[in-house]
Amino acid sequence: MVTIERDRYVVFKILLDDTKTEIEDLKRNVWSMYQRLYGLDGTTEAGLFFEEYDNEKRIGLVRCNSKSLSYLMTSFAMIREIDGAELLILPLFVTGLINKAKKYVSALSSPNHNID
Amino acid sequence: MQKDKDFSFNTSSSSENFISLDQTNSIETFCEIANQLSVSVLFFEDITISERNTMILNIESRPYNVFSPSFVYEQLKNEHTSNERIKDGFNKFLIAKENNSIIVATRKTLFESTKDELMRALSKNRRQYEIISVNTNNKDLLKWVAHDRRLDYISIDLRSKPSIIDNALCSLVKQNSKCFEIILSPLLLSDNNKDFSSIIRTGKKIMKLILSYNAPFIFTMCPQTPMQMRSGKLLRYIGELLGVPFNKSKLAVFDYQLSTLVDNTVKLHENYVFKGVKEVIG
Repeated sequence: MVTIERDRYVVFKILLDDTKTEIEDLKRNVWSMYQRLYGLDGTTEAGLFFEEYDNEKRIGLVRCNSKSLSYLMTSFAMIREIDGAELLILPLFVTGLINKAKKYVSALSSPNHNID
Repeated sequence: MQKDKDFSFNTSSSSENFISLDQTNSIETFCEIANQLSVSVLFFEDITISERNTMILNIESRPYNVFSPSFVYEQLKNEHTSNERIKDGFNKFLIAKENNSIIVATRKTLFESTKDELMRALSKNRRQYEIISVNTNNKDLLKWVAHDRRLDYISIDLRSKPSIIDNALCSLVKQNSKCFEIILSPLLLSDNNKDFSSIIRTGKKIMKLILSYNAPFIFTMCPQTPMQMRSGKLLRYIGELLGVPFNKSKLAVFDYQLSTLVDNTVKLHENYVFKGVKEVIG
């Protein structure tokens, strides 16, 4: 039987006190937390890929396997600091369509965003 | 074609049950982050009801509004009679977009280890806080707590021994409509892998027993700083690490907390006589 692996796109926002977060630091932390919780095997199956990240607005988009969505959320919830700075990764929106996810990100990035 | 399942994280309310204030963090900083996380009910530890009321008055105008539970109850008490209806009223009040509101409640955790000490502490603190919970390692005391109507939660730290929770206690908690309060912060704060795995192991044992009895439980993050707060959904995802399925923890992040708060707010109101009876003027 052929099974199709579906992707999920998660739009997230980083709440941080003052310092800026680089995408590389963020990637490293998400990967290491995921690996700490679910092992190397789980991490490879998740298919994590950071599609985009706005450094100014601290809004990003990450792709993962649909079956690993809850594991990714748990990893987000468990991250509490990057390089000694406290932060909180807040997932905002989950969708299976990349265009929809990008539309959401661009709406958030615009100055007067209004998302229903 | 299968419909795509999109969902937004900002639609559901949640509550943070155990916030300790210190000199560096004020009530406003917690409310600010809570507003972004859609956490609509905050319980502050060791702040009495009168202190809370003064703090609320001192909060300057912000994009959110802060209320006390008694204020909301005053608005609703003439419209609704039963506690269930009042709870619905609280829910509607929190959901209403124009209010953008956060309810600030108070709580006290008692750490006494004997019954006499606990009774003494209880008589001292009872009417000064909206929620009272007990955190102890004494097994017999926990069974007494499960019977007592003045106490609301049994707090469980994941670093404590799993043997303090047993079948009899779970059964008693369920019968007396009490709640287990599971403090998840040790999971977040442990840096050591060995420590982390032992916490998960303890948590899984406790949660397996609680789930087998369908005893009510709530999750709390017990944040020391605003950044340690988590939204309800994220708490439920952390709960999955302890073997609690996402769908079984739906009531553990908002509903039980709100029901307890509403019940206690009604009890603390001056019109309350005893259960089911209240004084009506006019």
